Amino acid sequence: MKKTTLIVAGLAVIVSLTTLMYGLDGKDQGGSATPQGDGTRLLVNALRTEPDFRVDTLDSSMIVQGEVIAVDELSDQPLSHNTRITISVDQLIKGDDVSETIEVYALGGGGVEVVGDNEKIGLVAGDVGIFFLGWMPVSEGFYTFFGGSRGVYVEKDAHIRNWGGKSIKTDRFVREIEKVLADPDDREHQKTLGEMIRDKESE
Amino acid sequence: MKNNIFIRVMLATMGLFSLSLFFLVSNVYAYVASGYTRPSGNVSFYLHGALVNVGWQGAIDNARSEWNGAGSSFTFSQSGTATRSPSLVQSSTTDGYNDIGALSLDLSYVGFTSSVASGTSIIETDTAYNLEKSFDVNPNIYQYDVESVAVHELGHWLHLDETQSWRCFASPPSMCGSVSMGSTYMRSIESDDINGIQYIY
Ligand SMILES: [Zn+2]
Repeated sequence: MKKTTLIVAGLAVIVSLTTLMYGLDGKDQGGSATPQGDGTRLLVNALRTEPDFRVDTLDSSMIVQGEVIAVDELSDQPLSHNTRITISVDQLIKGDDVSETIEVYALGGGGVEVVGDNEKIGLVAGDVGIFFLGWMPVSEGFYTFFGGSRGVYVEKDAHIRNWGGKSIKTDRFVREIEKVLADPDDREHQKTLGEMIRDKESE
Repeated sequence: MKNNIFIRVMLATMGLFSLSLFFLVSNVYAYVASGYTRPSGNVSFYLHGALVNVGWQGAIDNARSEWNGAGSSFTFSQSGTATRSPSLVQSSTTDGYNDIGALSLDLSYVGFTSSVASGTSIIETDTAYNLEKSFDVNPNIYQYDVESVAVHELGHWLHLDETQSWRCFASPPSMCGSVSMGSTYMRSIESDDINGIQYIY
């Protein structure tokens, strides 16, 4: 290796890291909600489980492949899930709902500010992809994207990009999901908080 | 031969640089202050009776003390117990009470905090634990830690947002964005969380 090449490489590393450092200093940085106007506003923070492909596959209620046909902002939906995304379903990968379209409600919208990049869905009509859906068991219940943005895998050129940023062929991704689903769920069941509370009440 | 020595010196320099960078990074602010605040410098909440019944009071007390001991002027206190549902989380409606309770959420949620602000002032906050997940005050690898979740969520009451994710590797702050089962590191706030609360209050 040439000496000059090494010097240039070393300097490049130092310069880029230093730039990164200065860019990182930031109490005012990040996807925080900026106050505007003077009315009241609702701010929501979701604390999610650690992302894990196998667990997400097992714990989502439904996984569909399809196309977004409408995105609407509503207000006053349960749990501040005010963004309604209507998906036309091409293929059901997990679950037993057989309807042609499904309405999915995402956190935020309609005057609610969601704090944190993990919740930014950014879907528009015409987007196609694979969607992991969770069932929210409040009032009559509704579907939402499992894990916020990490349940949304938009497809481009027969590839989808997962939340880790990795691009993978769509049919291979579907096979990986099917592989997880074919495997038994060997996790040990622990009492949920709801079960613990019910047990205490019946004591 | 000459080149060989040069490469070694270069590698050693870069190694030292990375090491110093690591120490530097752990002191750079990563917290995110949303710009919202509680001008009174204190907040008092109610804990749902069902959570007291399953033995959570001590863990919630610890979480409250953790922030109260951060060297800022802000204080958390508890008004008592209640049986209300956390209205802001459930239905986006204020009821005049700051509540910590529980609701049924989908399985990707551990906790959920909603605040309502007038201008930049927070006027009410509610937190819900997910009834569909498993928690314990001494969690095993299949349970979430009650106290860790409380410390993180109370950070949102202050109003700190999720810490920038690059900081969430070695000795991660309590305000890092996701929590894993069995993990208790969020119980103790880190320098970055302390810098955050001290910046706001
Ligand atoms: Zn959070």
